[in-house]
Amino acid sequence: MTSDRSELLQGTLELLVLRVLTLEPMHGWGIAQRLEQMSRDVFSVNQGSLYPALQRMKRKGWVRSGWRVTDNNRRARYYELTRAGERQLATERAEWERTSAAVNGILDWQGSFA
Amino acid sequence: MRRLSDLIARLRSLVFAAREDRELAEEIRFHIDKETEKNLATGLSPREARRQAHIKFGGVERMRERTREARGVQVVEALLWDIPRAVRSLRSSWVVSVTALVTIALGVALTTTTFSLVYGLLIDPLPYPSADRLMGINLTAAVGGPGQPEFEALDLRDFRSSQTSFEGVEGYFRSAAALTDADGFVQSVIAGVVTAGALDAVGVAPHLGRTFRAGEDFRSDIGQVVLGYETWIQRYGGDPRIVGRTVRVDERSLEVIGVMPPEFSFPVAEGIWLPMDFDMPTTDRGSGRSFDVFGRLRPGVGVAAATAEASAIVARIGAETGSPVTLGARVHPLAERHLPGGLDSMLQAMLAAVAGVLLIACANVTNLLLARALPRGREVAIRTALGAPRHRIA
Repeated sequence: MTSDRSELLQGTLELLVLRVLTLEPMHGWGIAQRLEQMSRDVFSVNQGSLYPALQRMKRKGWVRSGWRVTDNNRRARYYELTRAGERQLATERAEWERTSAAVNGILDWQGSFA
Repeated sequence: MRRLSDLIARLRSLVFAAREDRELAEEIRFHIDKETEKNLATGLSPREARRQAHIKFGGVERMRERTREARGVQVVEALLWDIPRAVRSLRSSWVVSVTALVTIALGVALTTTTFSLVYGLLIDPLPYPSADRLMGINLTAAVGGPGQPEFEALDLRDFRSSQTSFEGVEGYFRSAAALTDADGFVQSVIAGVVTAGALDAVGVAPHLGRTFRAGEDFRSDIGQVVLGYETWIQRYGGDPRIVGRTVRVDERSLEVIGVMPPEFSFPVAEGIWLPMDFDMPTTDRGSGRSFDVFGRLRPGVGVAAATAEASAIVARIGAETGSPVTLGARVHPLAERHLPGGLDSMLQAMLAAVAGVLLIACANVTNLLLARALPRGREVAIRTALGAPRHRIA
């Protein structure tokens, strides 16, 4: 049901895809499966929105793609993290932790104002 | 580095557009197939499995379109797609196209030509700085007088001593002079004979040297000349040390004190400028050399005020010097001095008429285009329903 699933922002989606790709090169459907598993089913809407995101990341040089044959002898396009992509992951991860810490700080505010 | 790889990626998307579309289609097919397999494994019927896979994917066409957009070549692709169609559509109804083209061309050509005329003759005719402040000062006489009165040297002197409206009041007239050039050939040139401050009042700085200084007029011993640029180049070979040398003009040796910039002329087409080198007459009026007078209005002074003051001064001078009729003065833009009367209203009427023609031309072409657009109603509706943005439908 879509009511259980959460919305994903475009920038966050790219961050998560970068993270997934550090495990191993993967095709689009595989990335979607990993996202589902790793988020324990919270993120699994609109799998199709992966492809515009992957295209953008390709243009920015964070991933590269190549056609390979799968275990079942089918052709699929695999995506792989580049060095620039690794650097970008580190940057965005740091930024994410900064932002979420700040949001949490406000939500959990217990102290007083100076 | 990122910019470069981005640009390369875009170029590749442009060149290999068809291939990238095919590959994306295959990629999406693979995705949906895998998701269908997964659903089958959970026990759904084949039809339901595929349907659920599609739902989870989102709209396939929409995703394809968004991925295409993410390639960053929409603008160029849109152009490549639209331009051949536009050309074809123009050619298929070429009578309409040619009519529209000729109509607009005529309207624009007429208006542009007329406006150039108006601009050149009325709006900005004089190529000098702040030329709209340059005013011609003419004398007028009450009816019954001995013809058109004109300024003479003594009149100018008296006028200058009383006036306050102008930064400078100067005089000029045109004459001819025999110029001996560097090779010894003698040729006639048009000479502008000016008062000392005239060239400065016009406001254009000399290219070389200087113009006449205060006091360098109304004496017969000023042996100086200012050359025009073209004269300097053509008759003296553009000699860089021309300033200070003497040249022969009308059998006299004159010192060149300066050269004016290219394409400068005052008032029209002079080759050289000479000072007014006749002595200021001591008593006689009405027998000396007369000339045209002009002045640059002081900032903040209007034409009406200047006219009033000039008329008063001139009337007083006339009375003091025993003029038989009452004299007055007319102050008008210098640019108008050499235009025939009534020209500006005629030109303005022409401009209005031609603007009307342009409007009619535009209305005609609008009608033609409207007639062409009506049968396309269905096409526009379908394309809008498919999601085309407005700028791609036109």
